[in-house]
Amino acid sequence: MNKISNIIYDLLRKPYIGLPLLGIFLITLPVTITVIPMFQGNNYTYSLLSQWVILSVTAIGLNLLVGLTGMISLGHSAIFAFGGYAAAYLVVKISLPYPIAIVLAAIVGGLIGLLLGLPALKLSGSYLAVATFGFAVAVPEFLSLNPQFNDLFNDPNDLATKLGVVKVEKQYLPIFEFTKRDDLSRYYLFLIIATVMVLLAIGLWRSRTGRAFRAIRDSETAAQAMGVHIGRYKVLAFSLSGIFAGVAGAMYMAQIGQLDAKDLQFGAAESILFLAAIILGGLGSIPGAIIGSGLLVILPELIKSLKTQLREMTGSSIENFESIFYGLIIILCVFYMPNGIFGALKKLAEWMRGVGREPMLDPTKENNLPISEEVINEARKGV
Amino acid sequence: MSALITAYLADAGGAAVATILADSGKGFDLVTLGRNIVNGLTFGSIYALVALSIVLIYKSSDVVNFGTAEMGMFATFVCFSSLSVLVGRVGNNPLPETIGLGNYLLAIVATLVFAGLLGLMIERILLRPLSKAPVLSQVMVTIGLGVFLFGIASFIWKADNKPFSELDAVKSANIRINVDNAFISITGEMITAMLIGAFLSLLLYLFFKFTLVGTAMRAMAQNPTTAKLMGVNVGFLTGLTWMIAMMLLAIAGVLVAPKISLSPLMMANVAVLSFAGAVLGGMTSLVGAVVGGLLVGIIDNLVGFYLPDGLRSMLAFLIIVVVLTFRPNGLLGKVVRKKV
Repeated sequence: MNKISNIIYDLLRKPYIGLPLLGIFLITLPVTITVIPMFQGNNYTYSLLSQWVILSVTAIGLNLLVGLTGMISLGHSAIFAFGGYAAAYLVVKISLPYPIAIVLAAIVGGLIGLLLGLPALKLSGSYLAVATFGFAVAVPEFLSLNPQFNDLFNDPNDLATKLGVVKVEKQYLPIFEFTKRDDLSRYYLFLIIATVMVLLAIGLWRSRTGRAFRAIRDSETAAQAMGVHIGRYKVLAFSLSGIFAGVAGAMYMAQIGQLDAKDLQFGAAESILFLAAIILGGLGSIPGAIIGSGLLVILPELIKSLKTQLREMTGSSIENFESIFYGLIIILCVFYMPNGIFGALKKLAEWMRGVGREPMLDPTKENNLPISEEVINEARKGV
Repeated sequence: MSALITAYLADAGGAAVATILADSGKGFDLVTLGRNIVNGLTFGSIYALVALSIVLIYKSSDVVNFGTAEMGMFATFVCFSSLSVLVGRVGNNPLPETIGLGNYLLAIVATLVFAGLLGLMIERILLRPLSKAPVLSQVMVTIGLGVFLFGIASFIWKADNKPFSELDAVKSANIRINVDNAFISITGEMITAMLIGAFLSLLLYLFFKFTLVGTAMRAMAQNPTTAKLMGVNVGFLTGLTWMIAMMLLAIAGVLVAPKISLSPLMMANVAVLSFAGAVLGGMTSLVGAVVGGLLVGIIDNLVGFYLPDGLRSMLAFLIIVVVLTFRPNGLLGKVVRKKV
């Protein structure tokens, strides 16, 4: 028992053990997932996996802001959109190779994050949420109301442009020959990018900067007294977080192949999904963000059969059915799992190891030392 | 007249504006201006009601209600269902275009009762246990509830657009104001929205100013602990505030629904602009919320008419950011100093 709990505890607490295992898990996932009858090894399943990777990268970035620094942002969907559009522009118009486009999209994301972070110098809590929420609503509307904006990307006479959609032909992404066609190789490409981002995040989490972020979250006044430049670090947190969202947007562009401002992925609702991912997984933790994103990506698949049944019963289409579950998950997590699934796992492992439990005192001995395991085992046997 | 105004604009250094107006091909005359202002006041009255609801909740429980849009939308759908039942059209059949006063009033009373209960339940079950929790938890709960209600409403009433009935007396009413050989027409809908907005704002003002409960609520907003020591039942009053706020949202929803058809996304835009109105008014002032809502309504209409489309969509965000950055307490808010 103790050994198992030790292993679990190590897995959760020590990234140099947990991360390689997670990596192996993710690399073999396309193969192992075919065991589950729900997922066949088809392109749809692989595209779901890619979605998981994309959502994870955004969620990690948002966790840096929300979980680590303690600021709320509802505007990350807009940064995500900017990343996607920037990458599309660079790949389609300037014909840059995709990796360079991703790096530049990261920079664009960082800059937009910096702009979005400027109000954070003066605002906090609910006010910041309101301001960033306004940004998230404004950007997609601005894009969809200005179709001439899409002329930047496409031939104006193209059908897609008339529909207000930016089309990124897959042949524009030939850096790795294999990304052209199948979703499986795209998943592996995304996995490589995500690995870089995760390593970056781990570095950040453990760095002086990460500690400064945590200090700001716990008490701004105390952090300031310790010499942390609050304003600078707040904007920095927004900017770093924007980098993750920008990269994820560029990945999304490569995944979908077209950008539509009316796409829900760029709407304010997506920001809520990002927040739901980190709240479900665990605020302030990288594995938590990954777990939470995975569950949110799988959720619509899990309730698919329920949906079909309901559709047969009521005879009409059921839209936004997932929203019910997203809402419930958010509320239940806030109430019963404030540290998310990762926090709950950690607590479980600690409980199994006996951390935080009062040692039992042996009343039979005079020196009153804690009872040894043998005595307890004997007592269990009824001796 | 329009030439005069354009010339005046050009004189007064408004050359840029004049050029934009000339480019957009939209004339600048008193009639269009008047029409836009009347239209703006109509929507402004609705924004004012929603902003009042946001401010009431913010003052009583220190939470910005991010589920505003969905809560109002849900109450409107309840009104839709009660109207369907009263008119005798069960299921998702469309309502007749107009409905008589008696049925309409009954449906609205039913909606208000529902909205009150909803508000009370939200406060008791969701927000009171979190009163000491971090801001993020409280914000997330209102968001989560909004998402939940959105899903439920789409499930029960379907996600398509539905027409919403009007009061028959309102439909036929129309006022025309003659200006410059043209007319500004004010429809019954507009009059109703403005009258109800003004009436409810006045009612709330009188309630807070002159009744004992209202005074207690003001005391509670200033300092809950001291208010409690003075014998104010803080828990009850917070619940009551939520009830009032939800009822305001329900009325705003019923006013909005005939203008833009009924759908789960109906209130989203209204809520964003109302947030801007509440922020403009200072977030803590009820008078500010009304003034802010009306101003946002007018500005939104003018910007939407005279300036390029994209600007209108950015308007709420621009108002929020500019106000919060340069005048965080809005037009009428009180300065709040944070203590360590």
